[in-house]
Amino acid sequence: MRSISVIGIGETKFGKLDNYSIRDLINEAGNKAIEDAGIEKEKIEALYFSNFNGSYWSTQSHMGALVSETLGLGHIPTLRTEGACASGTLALRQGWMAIALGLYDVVLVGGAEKMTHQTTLIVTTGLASAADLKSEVSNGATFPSLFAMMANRYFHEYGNIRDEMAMCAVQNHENACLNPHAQMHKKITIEKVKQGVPVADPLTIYDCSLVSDGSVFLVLAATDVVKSICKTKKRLVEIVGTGHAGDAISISGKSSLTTLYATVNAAKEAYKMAGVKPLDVDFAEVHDCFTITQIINIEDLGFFEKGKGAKGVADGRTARDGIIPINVSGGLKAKGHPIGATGLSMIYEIVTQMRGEAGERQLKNVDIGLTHNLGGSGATCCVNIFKGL
Amino acid sequence: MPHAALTSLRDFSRGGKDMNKRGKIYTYTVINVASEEFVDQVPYAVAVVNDGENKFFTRIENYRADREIKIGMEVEFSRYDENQKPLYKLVYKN
Repeated sequence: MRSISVIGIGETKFGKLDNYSIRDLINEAGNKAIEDAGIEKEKIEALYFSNFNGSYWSTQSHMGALVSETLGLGHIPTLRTEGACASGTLALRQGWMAIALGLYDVVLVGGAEKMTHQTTLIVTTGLASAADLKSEVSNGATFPSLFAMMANRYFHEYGNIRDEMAMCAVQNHENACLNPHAQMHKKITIEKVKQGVPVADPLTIYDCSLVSDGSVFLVLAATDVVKSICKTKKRLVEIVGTGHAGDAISISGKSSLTTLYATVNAAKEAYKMAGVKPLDVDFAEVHDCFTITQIINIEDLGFFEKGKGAKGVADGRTARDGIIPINVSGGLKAKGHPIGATGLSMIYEIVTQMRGEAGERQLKNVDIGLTHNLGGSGATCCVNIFKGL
Repeated sequence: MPHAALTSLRDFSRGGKDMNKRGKIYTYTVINVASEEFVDQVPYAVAVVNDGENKFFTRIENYRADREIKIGMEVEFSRYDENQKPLYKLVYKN
């Protein structure tokens, strides 16, 4: 397999960015990534761009061409990926495959979403389109309600973990306070989470990820060409494993609601390709669209036995100084969740940490990192494993 | 659960799969923040019901905040709503 590395990263701040159009977001993050890679734009041979719902929220489709013009990329081929909240890492995987196949040596991968200019109703309706319209949404389901049902089923099978779910939110908010790009710089408590505005029992507003604007871009290159094209000498971060799997779009179509098999299968593929085990992973960015999701995911990724993830959180094993730090960036819960950019934001954090550029939230001795990005109610999943060279 | 012998209902939203008149709650939630179409119904309960053959998503029509709802409770078909979505109701033992 051809070795492929992330050689450039760029990211906007996440949040309610009233003064930014989607073009502005793309322009800032895209140019930052290209500058960070230290390459000429002419070296970029293709673009893979992720956007979930710009055609609805911003009435803008054909995003690949939009990005190409915005960044001055000329006549290169472009492609938009969409897999709900996993859209970003689908773009990463397309870029990775193109280089692995030998089609290109250098590609740009990006994602952006502009959400906060819309009303809550429009945002909610757009988000719900990632669920099954006919059997779920048109019968009263909301997106949080699908994960709330997972939480209640989890309580039934493994016991009540309400406090530990709240602890995930508390930890991610603490981490986000150290991330200048994060949307939420506010510490919260377990009681505040539990007493928040009820959304769908047992989830309150503090169990839910954020509505955000933001953009992230990455430059990928065949590792063997890096020396000849890069002006900078930053630590290379190799993509050593990648996995992609799926499941039914509807919650009732899944064989389990406490094990998400898209995650299990994507992780299996990524671990096998990378030749590593869960215990080898130094830190991970894990999809925490809701607090229950983070707990189910850390079990499905093999960091904890099934039914033991909540105790791992409560014991501090997922904290910054724990054995497997999770969502040091603040995660979707507190860094933010601009959907098309979210999966790439996880990789931004992995690369930032491995380069030693994470400032106050810098982890020590990190060489292997994992990202886990989930779409819908567990219908699409990409897991990627990275190694610092 | 006497599912097999009962007349089956056709859930138009599931591409014609049959669902039985009675089933048990596999999981549920009570929704407090709804989309525009359902905002005047909050709080309302939705559930994944296991009818012994399949699982399907439905609204629980007779949920009330002062009465219990939990996994394993029996539900039965109540009616179709104006959009031809089947609604189920909790079967209270007393």
